[in-house]
Amino acid sequence: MSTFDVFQMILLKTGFFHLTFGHVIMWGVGLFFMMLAIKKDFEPLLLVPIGFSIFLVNMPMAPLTGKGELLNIFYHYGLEWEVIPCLIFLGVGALTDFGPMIANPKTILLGASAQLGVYVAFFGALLFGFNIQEAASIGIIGGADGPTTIYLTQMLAPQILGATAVAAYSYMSMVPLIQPPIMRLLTTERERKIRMKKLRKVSKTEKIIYPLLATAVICLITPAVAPLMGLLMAGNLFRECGVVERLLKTSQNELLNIVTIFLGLSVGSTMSADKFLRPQPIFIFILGLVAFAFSTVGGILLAKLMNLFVKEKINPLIGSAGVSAVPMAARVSQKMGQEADKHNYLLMHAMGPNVAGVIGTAVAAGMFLTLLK
Amino acid sequence: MWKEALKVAMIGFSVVFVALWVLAVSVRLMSLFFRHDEKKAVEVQQ
Repeated sequence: MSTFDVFQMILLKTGFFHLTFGHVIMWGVGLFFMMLAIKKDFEPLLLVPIGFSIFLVNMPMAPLTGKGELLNIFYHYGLEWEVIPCLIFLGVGALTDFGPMIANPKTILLGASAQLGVYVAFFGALLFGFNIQEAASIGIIGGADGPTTIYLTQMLAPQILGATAVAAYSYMSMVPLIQPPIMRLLTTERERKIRMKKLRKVSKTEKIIYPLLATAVICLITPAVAPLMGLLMAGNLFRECGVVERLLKTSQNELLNIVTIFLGLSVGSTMSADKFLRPQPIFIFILGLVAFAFSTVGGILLAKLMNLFVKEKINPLIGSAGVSAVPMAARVSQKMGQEADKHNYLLMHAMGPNVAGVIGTAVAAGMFLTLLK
Repeated sequence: MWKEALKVAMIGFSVVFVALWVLAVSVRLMSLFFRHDEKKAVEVQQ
C-alpha cells in the first residue's frame, strides 16, 4: 500500500469526510438545549446531558449508537428495558411529600382533570397523520411527566422517543412561561384572591399507610402501570417510614443522579440527524405545547366547577398545578396567587393536585398501554 | 381509526377520573379511621 493510499484511507475514516449539513444543524440543536440549561437554568440536570449527547452522536463515524456501542448499551438496558423511568420514579417518590394531598383529598380530582391536554393532543396528533400509538405517546407529553412519557413511548412508539422525551422535559421547564397567561385568562381577580383554609397536620401513620393504599388502588385499576407506581410508592415509603435512612438518601441522591445521567445520554443519543431532521419532531413540539396548555385549562376549569358545589372554596389557580411538573407548577400557582393578594399562600394547597397529577398521568399512560399495546 | 381513538380517549379519561376518585375516597376513609384511632389512644392515655 502506497503512502497516498494510506493517507486516502485515513482521510476516508475521519469524520470530516462524512460530515453533512444535517449533522451541523443537530450540533446547533444540542448547543441550543445546553444554552437553555446553562444560561436560562431550564431543567439543567437533564438538558445538559441530553444536549451534549445530541452534539456527540452527530459526530459522523463515531462508534456510539450502533449495536453494542456505548450509548446503544445505555439505551438498550436503560430505556428499552424500562429500567431508567422506574428508577427515576423511585427517587421522585423518595423526594415527594404526599401530606398536602392526604390533608385535602378532594384536590386529587384536579390531578385527573389536568389530563385533558393528553387527550386533546392525542386527537391533534391523529390529525397531523401520526398513527394511534404515536398519538398516545405525543398526548402523554401533556401530563408534564418525563419518566411516564418515556415509559409509554418506549412501549408504544420507540421511533419517536427522542422528540417526545425532549418535548416533555423542555415544556416542563417552561411551565412558568406557558401557564400564567392561561391562568390569567381563565380566572377573575376575585377568584385569584380566594384564600384557602390552612391544611391540617397529617399524622405519621397516615403518611406510612398512604403509599400502600395508593399502590393497591392504582395497580388494581391499571396493572399496566404497576412498575412506575410501585417504585414511586416504594420511594415514598422509604421516606415516610423513618427506619431506612440509608436507602432514602441513596434513592434521593446517588441513585437518582446516576440514572439521570444515563437517561439524558440515552435520550440524546436517539436524536441523530437522519432520525430527527424531518417534519415529525416539529409537529411533536407543537402538539406538546397544545397538550400542556389544555392540561392547564382542564385543571382550572374543574376547580371552578367544584366551587359551585363545595362549601370551602378552592382557589382555581391551584387547578393548573394538576399538570405534574413537580414542584414548578405549584410554585407558579403560588406566585400567581401572591400577585393578586400578597398574603395569599397557595403553595401547599397546590402541592396536592401537583402530586396527584403524577398519579393521573401514570393512570392515563396505563390506559393507553392497556388499550393499545 | 377515529372510532377507535374516540373509544380509547373516552375510556382512558373516564378511568383516570374513576381511579383518582377511588384514591381520594380511600385516602379520606384512611384519614378518618386513623384519626379516630389516634384520638382513642390519646383518650386512653389520659
